[in-house]
Amino acid sequence: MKEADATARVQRLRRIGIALAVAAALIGFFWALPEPGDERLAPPAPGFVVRDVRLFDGERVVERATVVVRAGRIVEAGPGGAEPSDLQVVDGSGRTLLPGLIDAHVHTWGDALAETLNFGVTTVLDMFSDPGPARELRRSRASFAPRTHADLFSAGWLATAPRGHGTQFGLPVPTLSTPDEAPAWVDARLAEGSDYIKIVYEPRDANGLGAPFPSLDRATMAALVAAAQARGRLAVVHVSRLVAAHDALEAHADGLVHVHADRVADAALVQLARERGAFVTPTLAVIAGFDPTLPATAGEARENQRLAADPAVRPYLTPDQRRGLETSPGTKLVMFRLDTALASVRALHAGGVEILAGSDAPNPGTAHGASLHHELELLVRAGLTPTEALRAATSAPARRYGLADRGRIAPGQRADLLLVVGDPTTNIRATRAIERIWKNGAAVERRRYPEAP
Amino acid sequence: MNSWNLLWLETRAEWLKAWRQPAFAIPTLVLPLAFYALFGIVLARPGGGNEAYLMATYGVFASLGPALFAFGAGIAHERDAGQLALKQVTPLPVPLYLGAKLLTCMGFTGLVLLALYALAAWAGGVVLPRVTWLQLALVHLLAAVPVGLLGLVVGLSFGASAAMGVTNLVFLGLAVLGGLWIPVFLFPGWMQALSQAMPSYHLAELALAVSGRDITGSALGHGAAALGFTLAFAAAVAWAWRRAHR
Repeated sequence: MKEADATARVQRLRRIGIALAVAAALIGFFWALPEPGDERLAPPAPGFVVRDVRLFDGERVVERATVVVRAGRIVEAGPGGAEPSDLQVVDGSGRTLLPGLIDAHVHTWGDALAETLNFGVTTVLDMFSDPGPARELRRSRASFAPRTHADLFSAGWLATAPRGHGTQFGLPVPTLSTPDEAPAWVDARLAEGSDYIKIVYEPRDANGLGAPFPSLDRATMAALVAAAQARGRLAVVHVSRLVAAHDALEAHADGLVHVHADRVADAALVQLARERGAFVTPTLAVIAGFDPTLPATAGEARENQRLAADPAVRPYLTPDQRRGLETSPGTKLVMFRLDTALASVRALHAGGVEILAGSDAPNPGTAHGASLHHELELLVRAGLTPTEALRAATSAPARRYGLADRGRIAPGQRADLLLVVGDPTTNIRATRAIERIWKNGAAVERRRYPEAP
Repeated sequence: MNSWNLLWLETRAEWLKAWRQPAFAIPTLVLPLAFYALFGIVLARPGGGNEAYLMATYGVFASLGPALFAFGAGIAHERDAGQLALKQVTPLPVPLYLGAKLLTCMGFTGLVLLALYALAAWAGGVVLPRVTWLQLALVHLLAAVPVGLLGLVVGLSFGASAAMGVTNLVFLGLAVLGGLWIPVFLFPGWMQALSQAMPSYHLAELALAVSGRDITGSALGHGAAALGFTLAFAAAVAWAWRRAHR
């Protein structure tokens, strides 16, 4: 009997031992699963040095600089400087090093962020899309682990009236109609993970003319701006007409995310924008894509078709991107005119209003990543110097949108970098001659998409 | 011999039986993983922002295979082979016999889930708060209960060859209409209406809510629906058992 008892006890102990071992293994397994901010699994790239390079640091140009990157961050940037012996050296002579570009107006889904990075655009500001994917990506956004896609900051759902602009895509956009609803609407967006608030404001004019869909009224637009700012967030407004732009600025909007397109900006608008310290993201690339009067001469390629044909751009476009760029507007009724928009940007810029570069990809006539290079060219055509245009795609959006770790090449900054052949600070088209892209200090392999012969 | 001991022994026997038919057990384990690897890793481009979404729905998918094929269709075989009649003359209480099947089924699901999470974490780029990983594991593991019960209903109601066919159909319905392969909102209206009648749809919505997604309806509502399906299937098992008795 005693022996049987002893055997039973040993068996019970063994069973307990196995149960404990299994439990420990399970706890260990779940403990090892990656959490937000967890960088143990993919350590940052060790680093590299770029030597003898022309440096555009996001603000100004330094000839013959050395930039040192370690563990995903820039540790040194400036003229001359000693180069550490333990890091791989990249010869930068004849080339220019830029901060990874920021596109201040896009809409992302599917492969957008991979396509974007393929053109040296390392950060995008989404102005309306389903907040679900943005929330997922947000969990690892602060990490310095190597990444093969651009970083996403997003407005999430846009603020619009029932059946207003933005509701036509069949997505469950939460709408509102009255100023009283504004604070709760903004709270809901922030709870969903929106980084800032985007408002669609397309009111009819005194004669009842205007957009063929309902819009928020002026009081609701103003209440949304106030609610966002009371919560420490930016409020940016989509407008397409001068009067609406004026209203939005009077309501203290932080920025306009299109330049209005019905007529050229007048002195009153320029003055108001300057006084309020508001910025304008003109999105000339999408206006060029929509303008039914382009090209002026028959048989000539359209602006966006010329971009798609550029040998520095074409091999890196996906078939979808090529189709997007080669789209022609379907109707002559569209009011967008590139000439008018260029004149407005010229007036705003000359009047001291800060301009940000945004493409509004992937709307017809645009493509993620590629169209930001087009936007830079159009900004220069509107009177910005190449250096000013580059600021509009690097340090300016980073400062305006509170992205403290990017947009400049300086110690401590995230090593999102772009090495191009030539000098885009004198010839803006050189941004397309991309030689290297780094995201979080890790080299990005550019993808080519060969065409069928 | 108390009931716990009986349950333990019966579960152990079930487990060993399943494990000793590797040609049967392995495919049910590998199939959901292969599907996830294809759609969640190989065909997914970086930066899609749907990494956790895919893992949440494929986790529910992972509970279908073991529950339906290994145990649902399996019990039909046992019945045809006369094993069920043998069990019925032993003093083993019915709930313990079925409970052991369900526990084994959850054990298998648990194994698939561990492999799925490992794939998702280290190849699929899924990053979640630790609490969320655990909550998701709970939802995925419990998903095996209603589906397992449904499998038993099929296994007890049909002969071995018919059960296999029916199981395939149920499997496809639960996977497709449940939105486990393709999101439900992409379906036409009539298919979306059918989705509401699928336990897998409510389980998937529950898993998505836990993973931090916005869902249609409330998590509580989907939880209640899942519980309703579980009770209904449990009642159906009791009914099917009595019928299988005769």
